[in-house]
Amino acid sequence: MLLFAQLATLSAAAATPAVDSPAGMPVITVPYEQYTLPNGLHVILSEDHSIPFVQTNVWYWVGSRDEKAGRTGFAHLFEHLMFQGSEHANDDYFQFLSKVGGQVNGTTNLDRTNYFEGLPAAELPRALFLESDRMGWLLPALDEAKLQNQKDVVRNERRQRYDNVPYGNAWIYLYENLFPDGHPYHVATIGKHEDIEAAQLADVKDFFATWYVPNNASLVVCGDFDPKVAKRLIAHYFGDVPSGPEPTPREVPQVVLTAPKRVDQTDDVPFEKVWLAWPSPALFTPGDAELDLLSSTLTDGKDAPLYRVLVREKQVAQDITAAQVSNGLQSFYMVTATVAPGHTGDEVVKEIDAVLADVQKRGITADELAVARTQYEVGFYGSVATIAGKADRLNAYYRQTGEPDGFAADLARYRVATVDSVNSAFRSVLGPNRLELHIAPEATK
Amino acid sequence: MKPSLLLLLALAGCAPKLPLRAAGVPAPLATRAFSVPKTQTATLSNGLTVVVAENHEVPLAWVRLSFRDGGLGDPAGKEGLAAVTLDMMNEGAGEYDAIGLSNALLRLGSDLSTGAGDDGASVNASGLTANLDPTLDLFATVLLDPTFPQSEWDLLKKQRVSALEKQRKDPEWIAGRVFERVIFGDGYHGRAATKESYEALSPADMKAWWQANLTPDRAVLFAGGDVTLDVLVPKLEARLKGWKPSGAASARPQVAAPVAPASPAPIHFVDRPGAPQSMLRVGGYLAGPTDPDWSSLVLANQVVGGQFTARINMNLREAKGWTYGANSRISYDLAGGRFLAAAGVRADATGPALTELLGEIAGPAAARPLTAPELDDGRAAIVQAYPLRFESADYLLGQAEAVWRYGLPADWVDGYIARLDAVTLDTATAAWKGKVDPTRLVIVVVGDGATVREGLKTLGRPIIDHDPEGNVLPAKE
Repeated sequence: MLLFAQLATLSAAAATPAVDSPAGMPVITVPYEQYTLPNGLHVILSEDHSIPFVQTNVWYWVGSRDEKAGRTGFAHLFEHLMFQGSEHANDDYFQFLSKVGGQVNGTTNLDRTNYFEGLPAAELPRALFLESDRMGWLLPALDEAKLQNQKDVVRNERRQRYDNVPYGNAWIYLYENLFPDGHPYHVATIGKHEDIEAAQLADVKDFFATWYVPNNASLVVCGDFDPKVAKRLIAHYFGDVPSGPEPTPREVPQVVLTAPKRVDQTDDVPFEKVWLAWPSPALFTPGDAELDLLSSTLTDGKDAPLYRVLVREKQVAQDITAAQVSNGLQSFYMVTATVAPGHTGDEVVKEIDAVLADVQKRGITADELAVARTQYEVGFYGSVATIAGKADRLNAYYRQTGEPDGFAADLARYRVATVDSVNSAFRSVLGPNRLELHIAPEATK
Repeated sequence: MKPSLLLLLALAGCAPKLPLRAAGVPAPLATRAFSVPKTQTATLSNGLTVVVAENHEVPLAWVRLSFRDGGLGDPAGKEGLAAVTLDMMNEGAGEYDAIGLSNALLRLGSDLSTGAGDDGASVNASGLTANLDPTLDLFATVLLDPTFPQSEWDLLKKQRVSALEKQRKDPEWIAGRVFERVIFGDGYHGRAATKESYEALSPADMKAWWQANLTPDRAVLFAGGDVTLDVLVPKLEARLKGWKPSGAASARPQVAAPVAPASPAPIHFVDRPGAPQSMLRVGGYLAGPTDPDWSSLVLANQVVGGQFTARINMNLREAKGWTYGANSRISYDLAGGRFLAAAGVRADATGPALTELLGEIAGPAAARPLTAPELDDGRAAIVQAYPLRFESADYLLGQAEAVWRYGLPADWVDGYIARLDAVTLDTATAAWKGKVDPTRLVIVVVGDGATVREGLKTLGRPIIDHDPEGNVLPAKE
């Protein structure tokens, strides 16, 4: 369960003039204990007895950024193979988990891969057995037929989520144009069809040996369990998973755009849409939280400058959003808008630029900052209300900051941000050198 | 000296030995007790029923005021009236214009949303518990004193007309739209707002609709999260005491019973040139949630397509590799109980995928009877996961709303597990055989005609072409 404490200092901070924000936003702390097994697996335990359910969550510190040339999409394809059975549980993992009420999935992004199971409290041994078996004994159960089947499934996933969706490939264009060829982020996580098709069993073995070692993983157990029982089960099932050489992620310099860049694409879309994107500070580094707050100021609510001017007053855009897309190596800041009928993408870009220049010049105000901070805090509580949400954040905070209970520290980034720090991030990141992407309807046939 | 057995047990901490990895999936620990949480109910002086489900995990609370009436009653030529009326309530109320209202909410970190579908309408507010009072003030203002400004309608109308154009490029939307048109024609879910119907709407229409339909005798208020009935009721009483019941009966028409197509049902096709994937939909209306067969149908569907390990997904995804995911769902609305199978499949596999999908739906009554282990696993998947649904207040209140809106039995939630437990292989099989006629389900395919048409012809069914709105096109040679 989450613990809330009212901090006196925050009551004072919340008394910013002209903003009716609540006196003293609650502070979150999540009780936990952590230790490391001799093979290097890091374990984080956090009890929450609100319902008789338990969540396991494993992070492997490997993502699409770690793929080899010609094997884009492989980290995600590998994630799919982790559900196809292991030596001592050689069946579709959903077969073992669904019939006991398991809520199961995994996700891959640029930086990491996670696997999670929510199960009735009594089934903790099953979850730990299965997670450990695929951590140590995936390869003996793998064959060419499973690999080919999941290549097909993943290529269907790409069709369903990117190729066959209006503007679905925007994400792919953004990464390939912001991050140069050879950069770990050049190709979006889903990968290229031809690379997915090219994957071989030898690649799977190599990837497993390199990245899927306990010393490159962390396990969270969160929910209704007895820690004595959990520790014994974890030692029993994970203790004999062999460790491997310490993996070394690639180091890359920060990308800097030295000139404006424009990309024009056409697709089967109803209206032209534009994206402006700037390379920006990595997740949890200075400026990251400031840019989240900036997004709220620029587009949240009907009075927000970008929304008010483009959608309400000039009516050149149908919608507009702004977001800091946070990643481990480097993030990007993005403003995107759909062009209104009778207008052009160029007009929209011109108006966005004018608003950004105007707000950069005057600077965001203390009042705007206080409002933005409130939006962020309320959203944050919603995201930690479940054991699944908490389990994943414990792993995320551990991986990215070394401290699993980073809830308060994460929120504090938004609380200590000042008008000056937000304006400074705004001015230094959203400069003239940026990517401008247009996706326009195909010419009428 | 040999150690005694007692000493060995003491050294092992008396804990039983854990099984070897080679023994496979380990046995469960002792089951932990769980009881379904309860809602609490009160009635305000104006007759409005208030239902609360507490959950104090995070300092957030929400209210949802649900209304009996929605878009089903929209007059012909004014489709979209209920939805637009609700949208417009959030565009100005009391002393607030649209921007003023938006700013007031942002400062609180609260959210206020309004909307209507075919089956009903709702006004929703949520925010920090500490801001419950000012959030409820705004909620009451929007509910009781909306101003429907013409300038905001001019803007919203443009956005809604653009949205119509956007939908026509979305294959998921097209598949859903054609499915509803085929089943309901121009009634119920088959109706949709158009540019013309939006043009025909005025703020005066909205005000009249608001006045006639949003009354406390045709509504229930649901509240959840970090709030109690004792705290909430006086706050609501203070704000809503002037809101009076109309006493008038609702003008909502009955939903005409959906008609299943003649056997063998045709394939309704929409051409999307170049689409790398085809959207498949197969479905129709069966028995409703109060039918004695309902729980049997739910469990039979769990085996056929209701979970990842169900037959449809294991076949189309895990065996054939034709899709990212395929499923079938059982749900209900004012027309009764609905079965709908859905998959997005690789374009060049469209014909065979549809054949397999229809085969799986036909299976339990034909070549592939349901088996006891499948049924038991499907039941356990739902029953064992049940406690998770109560991690927040949303599910409990959602079910309470369904009981009210669809006239479900009072023990709908409390008796849910018992009803599933009562299903047997015989009842599940008989229900599927009796209620699911695979030759008379509506079939929709949205895909690249040049690639898929020949394959679809091999199914031996008539093919009827539609535009993305579901209008029938002239027959092709």
